[in-house]
Amino acid sequence: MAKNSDVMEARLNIEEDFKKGYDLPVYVYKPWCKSCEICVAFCPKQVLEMGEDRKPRVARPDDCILCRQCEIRCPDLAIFVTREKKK
Amino acid sequence: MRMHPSYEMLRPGKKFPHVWCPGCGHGIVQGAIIRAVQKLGLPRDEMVMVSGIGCSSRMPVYVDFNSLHTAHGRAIAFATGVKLHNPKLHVIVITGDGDALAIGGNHFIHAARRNADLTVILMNNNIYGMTGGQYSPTTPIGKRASTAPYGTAERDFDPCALAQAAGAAFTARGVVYNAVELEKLIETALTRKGFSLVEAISPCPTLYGRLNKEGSAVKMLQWQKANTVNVKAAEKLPPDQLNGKIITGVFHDVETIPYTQIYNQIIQRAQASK
Ligand code: SF4
Ligand code: SF4
Repeated sequence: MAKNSDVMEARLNIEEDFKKGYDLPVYVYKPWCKSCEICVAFCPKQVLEMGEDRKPRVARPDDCILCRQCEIRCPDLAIFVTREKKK
Repeated sequence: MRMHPSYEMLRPGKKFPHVWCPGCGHGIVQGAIIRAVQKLGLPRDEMVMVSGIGCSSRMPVYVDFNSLHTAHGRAIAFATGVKLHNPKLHVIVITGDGDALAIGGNHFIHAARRNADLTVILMNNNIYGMTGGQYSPTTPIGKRASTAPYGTAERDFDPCALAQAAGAAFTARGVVYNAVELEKLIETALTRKGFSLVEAISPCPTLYGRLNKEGSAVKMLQWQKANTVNVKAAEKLPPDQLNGKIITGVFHDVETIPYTQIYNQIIQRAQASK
């Protein structure tokens, strides 16, 4: 793993989790999350909750409407939707 | 599975997470710029991001375009030079309220007057963040800063009105709460010729928020949500109902001949007369 690239490392870690079977509609890349709670506060469906580790947790995945509000408002590119929008 | 679409635009080899504070709006603006560029399908090699000094000015470090990180307030001057040298490039200036309107105030108005063909993204957080919370030309009257412990006595600039009065081709304002609108404004600005300004209202929870007891990043975004009025709706409201509100949308959008074009015509004329 290229030690000098945090971006590469993030992608590899996330892909690894995907390969291991991660299948929630939203992914939180915790090493980049600064616990600002913006994603939790503005999710229209209350899908997210702050966990004990002060990082968002996908608490109600079935309610997620893949609207990407969390993804576009996260200042740290630390949360994103893992599925394409339903047509 | 879908990967975060912005990662491919981040500069390898740079330290992430970025330096901005938790909940700082600048990261949201960065995302909106990346999405606008991706949507327009602009080739990365033709993008240039130029900044001066301040919290805002870290952005070209993170976004993997051609970039210049220049002197305080001088980004617009460097960017004008880049654009004149190679008019094919899309030149984006990333600046803040202090950088653009105080230290670089003259560059700002004269680039608008010349109609320099630049897209200026002014991230307005109403304060000097990097240097410790001094009040800036956009700190509203009565608001606190480290250099105004009882509130400032000065009136604030409206950057969009200032740019328009100075001759800009396009001016617009968005808030980070409404990141989708902001992205669309940036997208439009990128397609315009001439001096194009997008003012992005970007909260600073660490200094401005704390000094003015406006609370956390979430509270500051909730305030934006409750206090933003679109320019079309604002036209129909009496002025007293717009007190203290942020008006968003496109204020000014005219077709102009950009500086680059006039400059090139003069070069051709000069060469022909030899
Ligand atoms: S995509 Fe929308 S519904 Fe799903 S977690 Fe994010 S904000 Fe909530
Ligand atoms: S918005 Fe981003 S940085 Fe803030 S809590 Fe959510 S994932 Fe973390």
